[in-house]
Amino acid sequence: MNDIATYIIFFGLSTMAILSAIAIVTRRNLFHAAMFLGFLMLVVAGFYFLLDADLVGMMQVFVYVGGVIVVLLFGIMLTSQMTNVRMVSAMKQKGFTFLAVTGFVALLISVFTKVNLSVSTATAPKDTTSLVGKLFMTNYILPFEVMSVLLLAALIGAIVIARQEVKQ
Amino acid sequence: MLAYYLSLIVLVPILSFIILVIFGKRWGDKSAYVSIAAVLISLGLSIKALIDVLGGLNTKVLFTWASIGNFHITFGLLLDSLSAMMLVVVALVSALVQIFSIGYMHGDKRYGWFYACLSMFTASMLLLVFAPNYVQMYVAWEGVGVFSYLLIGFWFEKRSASQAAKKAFMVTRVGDLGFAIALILLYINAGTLDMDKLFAMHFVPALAATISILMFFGAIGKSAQFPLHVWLPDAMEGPTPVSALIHAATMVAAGVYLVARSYPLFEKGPVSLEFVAIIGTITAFMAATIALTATDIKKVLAYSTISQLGYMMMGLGVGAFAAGAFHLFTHAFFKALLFLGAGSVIHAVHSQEIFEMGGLWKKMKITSITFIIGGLALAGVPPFAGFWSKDEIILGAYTSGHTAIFWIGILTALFTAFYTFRLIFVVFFGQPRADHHGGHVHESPAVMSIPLLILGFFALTAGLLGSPFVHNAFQGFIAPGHEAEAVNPFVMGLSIAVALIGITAAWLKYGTQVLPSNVISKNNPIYKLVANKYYMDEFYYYVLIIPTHAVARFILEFDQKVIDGIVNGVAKIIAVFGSGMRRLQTGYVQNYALFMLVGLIILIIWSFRFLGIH
Amino acid sequence: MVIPLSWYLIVSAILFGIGLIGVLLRQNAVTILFSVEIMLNAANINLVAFSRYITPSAISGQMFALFVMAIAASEVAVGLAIVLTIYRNIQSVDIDKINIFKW
Repeated sequence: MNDIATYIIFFGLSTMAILSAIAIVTRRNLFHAAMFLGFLMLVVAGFYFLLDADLVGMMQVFVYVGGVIVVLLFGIMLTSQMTNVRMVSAMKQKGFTFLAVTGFVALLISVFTKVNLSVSTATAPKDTTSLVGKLFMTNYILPFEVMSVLLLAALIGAIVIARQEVKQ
Repeated sequence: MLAYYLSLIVLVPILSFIILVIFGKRWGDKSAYVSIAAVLISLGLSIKALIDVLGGLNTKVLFTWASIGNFHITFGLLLDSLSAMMLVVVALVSALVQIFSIGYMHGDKRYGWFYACLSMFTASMLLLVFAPNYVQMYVAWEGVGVFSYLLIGFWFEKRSASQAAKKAFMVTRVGDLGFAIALILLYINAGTLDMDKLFAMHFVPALAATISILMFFGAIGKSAQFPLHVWLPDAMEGPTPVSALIHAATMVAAGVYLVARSYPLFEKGPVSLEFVAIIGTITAFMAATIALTATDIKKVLAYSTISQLGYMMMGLGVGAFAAGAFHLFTHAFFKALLFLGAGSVIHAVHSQEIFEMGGLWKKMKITSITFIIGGLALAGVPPFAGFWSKDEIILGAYTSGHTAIFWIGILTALFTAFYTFRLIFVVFFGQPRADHHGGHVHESPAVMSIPLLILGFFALTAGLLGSPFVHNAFQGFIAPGHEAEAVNPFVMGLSIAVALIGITAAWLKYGTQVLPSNVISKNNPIYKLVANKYYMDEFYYYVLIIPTHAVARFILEFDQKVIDGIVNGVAKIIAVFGSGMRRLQTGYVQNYALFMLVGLIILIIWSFRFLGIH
Repeated sequence: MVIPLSWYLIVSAILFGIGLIGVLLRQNAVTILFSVEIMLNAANINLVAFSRYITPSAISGQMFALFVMAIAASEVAVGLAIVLTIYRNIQSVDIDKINIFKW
């Protein structure tokens, strides 16, 4: 993979990511927005592959595109009259929000460009899957277990919250 | 032993007060016996104390009450001839009044409370009499004031009674202020308030006079001297036995007692004695003239009291110390007698207006006879009590060279005789004027008539103790240093003459129809002046009350507009600030998130700029 | 390694900003959930990029990214459950109507 191709891929992915993100935020139709979100997830997965993070990219596709998006689509369908809703909240904070967010992003970019990060030249390991598996079972065993408890709690909590009250 | 029985004199009535406050309501009519028993014990012990003093005892029992640094407030029982005499008078009059009240107050719904107040009123006065220092005297002085307030306003459902109580309290308070200032000045200059030490000290005459005059203001208030006499006639709103007690032995006597007790202090600044004499003379004369026109039986007696108190002050002021104290002594008996007699009359006819009475002689023999004895004593007819003491005072004024005071005293004596017998002729002789209750009038029960008889006896004989027949024994007892003057036939003769002239004039005017009823026109300006009590109440109303109300109203306005305005303004500013800040709490999550973002931006900038993270 | 690290970071910052605008301005609760997902993904790009460029052999950034995904999945599940409950109660997912949480 030569350099030019890499540049093209990066800019292509960046353009698609930003455009689809804008689309998600601006579309009135929630179904379309969910489709764009799925597309964005795939683009982000592309970024991961570009960054030699194979397993994370795969998980991105599985978990997000295969799981989260589906759940969100269920949510959209369960809450009808989702389309054609007002775009902007009643709060008169549009201008100020744009100003603050632009300032924030500019601040972040200026920090990223000004700060001199010590970039390592080492090559990435090719087989990240087994490495990640080993790390999960060794260094990250405690967060891993906590995460499993969290997922279980979220599962039960979501059911409890969303469950229809039994009418007496 | 001595300390025990002396303290019991005061403590037993206080105990009775406590018991009656707790049980008075439950016991009802029976509460009278508790209080009477207490005061009889006090009386017995007082008589024992008097006998001890006659036997040469002169003592002072002291307890330390409070110590503040070097300032020790002692609480004590001073027993000498003056206090022993007063103890007996106070306890005796109080006992008789309380016995009389059994009949008079019969059926009143706050019977227990009445006797509780009487007990404490008596106890306060006994404590005052015992006081060996001015702190205790002031405390007891105020105690007398408080319980007089409660008793005058005993029938507080009547608006006039509660007003009268308030008036009595407020007016005497004006005088008390002077008393308090006098005590403060004394303490600043002498460093002590013990009478013994103070009287032994040397004072600059001007200072002593200032303190004495200020102290006399207290006496002016309590003893109803001009110009603070206005409360006393109104105090007639209280039950009649209370009036008797106030007028005879307790309340008004406190002022005279204060002056008599502080006499050594007054002598250090002789100007103050002149002041006392002048005030006393004005009071005596003015009150006697007002009494000439009053038509309420109790008001006539009230003004006569003021007048007699004026005499006492006059006597003390002109240097006839013993005579003043003697008049206090005799006056206690005959004035208590007159008031209880008036109470008996009022009890019988249910009216206080003398021109609605008449002809009571036939129906109320005991009351009439005792009342006439009291009247003769008041008018100053020998050998009744009032004659000897009043004569002493007038004699004192004459011999000390106060000619004007002497002549005014004589004139006042004439008026006194006249108004006293005007009262007697109108009330007890002639025809019943208001027929509607004539049939029901009857003699009062024994509990009421027996005290009258006892007091009648004293009114008849008490004066003899100080008469020349026993070589002025009383004066020698009270004031060994102030021996009575020798008998002056001119003064005594004049005194008897004016008394008889006054009685005769009253008889001609009211006993017979010799003098036309319109000798003095009702429209005569002098008559109007006197009948309206020299417009003193009106004077106070326009000079003091209206400006006070105006000031109070102004302060109210100031308080409501400015002070409250400031307070409300502060609150309003905070409320405005709060309602402004409230807008930050919109309840919209997105709004909160935006502020989180702003805060985050500020934190990032701050951490880079000021913490130097690069 | 031809693309500088800061480029990834800039892209992720822009994505994060877009997601932030969505969270702050949209009034539909589901859209807000979408926007939160965008922000999480932007953060994930950051983590993976740091992992690749700074600690390539330790891949700790990738581990973090995996944890973030798991949390994002839980968040979506719970968030949707809340949205559904709100919808059932007030027949709307308009968060402007959910402003009782004040004072």
